[in-house]
Amino acid sequence: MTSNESGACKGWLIPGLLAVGGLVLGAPLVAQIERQHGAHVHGQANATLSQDGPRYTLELTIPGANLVGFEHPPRDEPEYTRIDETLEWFAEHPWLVLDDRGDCRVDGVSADATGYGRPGEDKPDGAHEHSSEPDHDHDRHDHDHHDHAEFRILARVECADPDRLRWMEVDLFRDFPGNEKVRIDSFTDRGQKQFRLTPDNRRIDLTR
Amino acid sequence: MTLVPLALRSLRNRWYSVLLTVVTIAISIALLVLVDRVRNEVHESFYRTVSGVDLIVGARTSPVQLLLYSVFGIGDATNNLSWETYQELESARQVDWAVPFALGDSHRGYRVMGTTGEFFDRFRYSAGQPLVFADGRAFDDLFEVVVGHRVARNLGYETGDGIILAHGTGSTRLQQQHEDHPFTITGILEPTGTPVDQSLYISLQAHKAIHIGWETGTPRIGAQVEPDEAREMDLEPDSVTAIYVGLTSRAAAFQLQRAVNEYREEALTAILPGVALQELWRITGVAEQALLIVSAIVVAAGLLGMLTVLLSTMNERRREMAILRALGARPGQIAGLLVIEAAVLTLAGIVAGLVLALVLQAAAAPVLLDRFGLIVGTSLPELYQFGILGLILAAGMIIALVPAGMAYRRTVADGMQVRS
Repeated sequence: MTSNESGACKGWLIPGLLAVGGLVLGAPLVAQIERQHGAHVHGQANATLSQDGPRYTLELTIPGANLVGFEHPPRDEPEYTRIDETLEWFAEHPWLVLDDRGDCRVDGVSADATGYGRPGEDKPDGAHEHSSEPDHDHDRHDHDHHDHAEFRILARVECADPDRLRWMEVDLFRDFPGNEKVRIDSFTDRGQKQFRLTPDNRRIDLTR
Repeated sequence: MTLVPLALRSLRNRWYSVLLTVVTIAISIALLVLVDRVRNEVHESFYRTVSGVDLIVGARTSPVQLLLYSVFGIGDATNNLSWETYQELESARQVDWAVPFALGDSHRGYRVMGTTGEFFDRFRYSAGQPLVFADGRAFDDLFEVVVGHRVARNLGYETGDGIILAHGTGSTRLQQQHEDHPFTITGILEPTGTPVDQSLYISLQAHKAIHIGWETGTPRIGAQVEPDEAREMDLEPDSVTAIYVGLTSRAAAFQLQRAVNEYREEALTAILPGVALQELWRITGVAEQALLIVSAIVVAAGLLGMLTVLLSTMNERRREMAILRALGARPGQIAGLLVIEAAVLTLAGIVAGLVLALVLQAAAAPVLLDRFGLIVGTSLPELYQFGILGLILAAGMIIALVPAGMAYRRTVADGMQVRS
């Protein structure tokens, strides 16, 4: 969805909105919101789980700090290696455990790190050009000027009998103690739900 | 003579204090059951309402807030979103259907929703049920209105009736009326048990037309348009309150949600209503827990009341016990008698409490339906609740061990000897 049209609204407003509306109308019409930032909470990962027929898609967005401990562009070889190893871990490690009943298998995992300013890296959505500037210093928590570094992991699951699948487990708390919580919004045949996983509760109970 | 009939007869002998004890326990049980049942019923009822909409898009706000004002008519929108945004969203490839709507007017306390005719075809509730017209049809002309089941029933409306809408959602008496634009009812919806029943529906164009000349919040003299003039005008809305969205696939829900939340043109929030609802329950969860704890404490107080009664009658019943002992009852049987008494009292309290809870639930149901459009059934407790009630019965019997122990220790001589 892109547009060059003005998104600001003018015209009538219902009375309850009038006070706020007055401020909007008084300001010059701005075509685009250039200063907006998504929330990014260290220690917490966000995920979405969707089901379309036999296919489940789990997408995790994990702050870089949770997995590798830093979110600045890698400064030396060990830091590059740490990012690469983490990406490999997701591709190779069986971190997504499935209930046997659904006759499911993990049908491919892709892992991606964004915001680290590594060569050839995809820019995260809405990233600014200068997020890869060399003088970029995360320790100053210069939140106005860069997007956070994140890992995005996409796992696809194919099930022969998706209705019988009762649970999934996301097991990355042991290997990544910096990742304390995973919030999962799910939308499956069984409706829209939200799960909060912690080291003590790693299970997505799909029947709930 | 076995112990149970003996216990019952003894209780009948003291029916006055027994009745009070049972009533005390019953009230405490009813409270516990009600708190739990109503919470479950409200949760289910809310979930039924949102189950047919994949995504709701509004101006940037908290997901819970957006859910509450867009679906349940609780609270108000802080901002509207522009019509251009609706048009772009509607043409996004993941979108199967998009129904925009504008809120802000009311009719005798019921909210008026300006929307498109598609609303009646697309909106789903309670596991995919569509809206059905009990009478008439959707709005077609500019000044036609469709009313929900409860609105028609409570206000005695029929199709063909003319009504006047009020500006804003405030108290009905002080409200300014859109008197120059009377509406005709063209359709009445079947009951749904959702807030749809409490709403009136007009077209977005009508919503705009009745507000021409109201830009300052009150009607400007001479700025309004005549109904016939309005029909000639271009009434494309500038903005809407929110949009219900249906999607082509579930995976698309999250893609689109992300795209909407990161939309550059306008600050928007997209929610999955079911997920937002769970966030709401997480917020109210603390209060619900507190209510449950309070009602559990009330149950404990009820049981302690029973203990007090049992203990205070111990003295009166010395002679009764002594006679039983003299007739050959063993101390264990006397103690058992007291435990059985307590069990009978607690059980009677639980049964009476369940009945009371059902009666109260039935009494509260119409109020919940009227105020919030929630159907709260008078269902029986679930299995786990019976488990809890079983535990309470056990607790009542354990408490009775105190007087039972006292009775056990007292000898036959205790009741017979004459004290000086």
